[in-house]
Amino acid sequence: MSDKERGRLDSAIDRAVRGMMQIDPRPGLRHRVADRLKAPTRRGSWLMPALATAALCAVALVSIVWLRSSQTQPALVVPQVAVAPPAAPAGRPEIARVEPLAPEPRPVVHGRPGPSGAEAIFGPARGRVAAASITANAPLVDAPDHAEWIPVSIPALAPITIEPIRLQPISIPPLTVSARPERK
Amino acid sequence: MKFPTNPSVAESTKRVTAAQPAEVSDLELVRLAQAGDTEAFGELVERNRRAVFRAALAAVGSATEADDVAQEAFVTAWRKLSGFRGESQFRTWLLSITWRKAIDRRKSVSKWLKLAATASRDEAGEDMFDIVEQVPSLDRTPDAALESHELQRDIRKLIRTLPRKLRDALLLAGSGEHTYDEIGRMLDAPVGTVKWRVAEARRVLKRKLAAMGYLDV
Repeated sequence: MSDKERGRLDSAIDRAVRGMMQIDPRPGLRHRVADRLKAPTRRGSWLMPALATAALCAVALVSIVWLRSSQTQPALVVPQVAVAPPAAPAGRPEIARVEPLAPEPRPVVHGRPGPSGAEAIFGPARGRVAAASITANAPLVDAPDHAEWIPVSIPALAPITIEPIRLQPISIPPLTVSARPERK
Repeated sequence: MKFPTNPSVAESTKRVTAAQPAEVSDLELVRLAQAGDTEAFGELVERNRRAVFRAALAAVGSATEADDVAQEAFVTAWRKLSGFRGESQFRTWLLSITWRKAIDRRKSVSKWLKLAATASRDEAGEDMFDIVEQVPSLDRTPDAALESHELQRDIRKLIRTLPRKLRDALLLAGSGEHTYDEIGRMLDAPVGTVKWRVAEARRVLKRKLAAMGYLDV
């Protein structure tokens, strides 16, 4: 089929594709291939050991960074608030208190300092959290601004007693029809 | 620089390749190369260099990169030559290696960086392929030549925007070096699919050209 028969755009597309594709490689491809066949033996003599050394260095560096970061990372603190036993007298708010295992330095509390003698509930990382029930005479600490005392205003719950459900017999009074309603 | 030679085999190859170069088949050259004859492999490079280069060019779109890919393909073929059993033609096997190398190159990050760099050059109207079409035709008026030049430039830009499957089939078919069967092997598609892709690529191009105002007279 000639170009005239195929149409102008068809022949233009053919020309464009030919122009893009019918290019010859630069002369000397055979020699360039031969050179590349020789090249890896020269390059490989130092390339592989260098790569292996670099990989070892990278692994060592990552290990050091990981070890250092794991040492300086603070332990997770799981806040626990113990609830007083149900036998405690009702009507008094409970206060949870943290008792540290050992005399450790007080944790840094940002903001206003708390009252002396108060202990942080979320304080030391390895602190032991113990439940504290308040006695009837214990004074209440009302310090909502302080981070170290948190009043837990949950009253002691009385034991729940579930009474059995008693079903009353349904009594239906007898239906008595006295008269038909009148139509208006 | 010549291929590293194995003297004993090289001598026999010289006799074969120099005395009867046209009669030695690719398969015979492959057998000699598998025995270590680098001259025979050099002859295979010479015979297939254009097909390999144009296959790479269809994938990567740059003559410089296509030359590099062609070299890599031949080097890989040399290293894998012992695994070639002759179940298919050497040329088909070589083109498959070439296509894989070219696709790897096309996917590489450096390729994209270079494409970004050449994109700005294309915006300025320069194109490595334009050189071929810049030869003035004597039987055309200056206006017609200018219009044709613009049309060619627009078609090339549109070809680059085609979906890869269509573009690859169109360019490989237009290379003048590959049969549909070879293209099908390279693209891992049946011959019928390859032909459909070529036709579809042309349809898409013509539709876009018509939308740009070019009439199909």
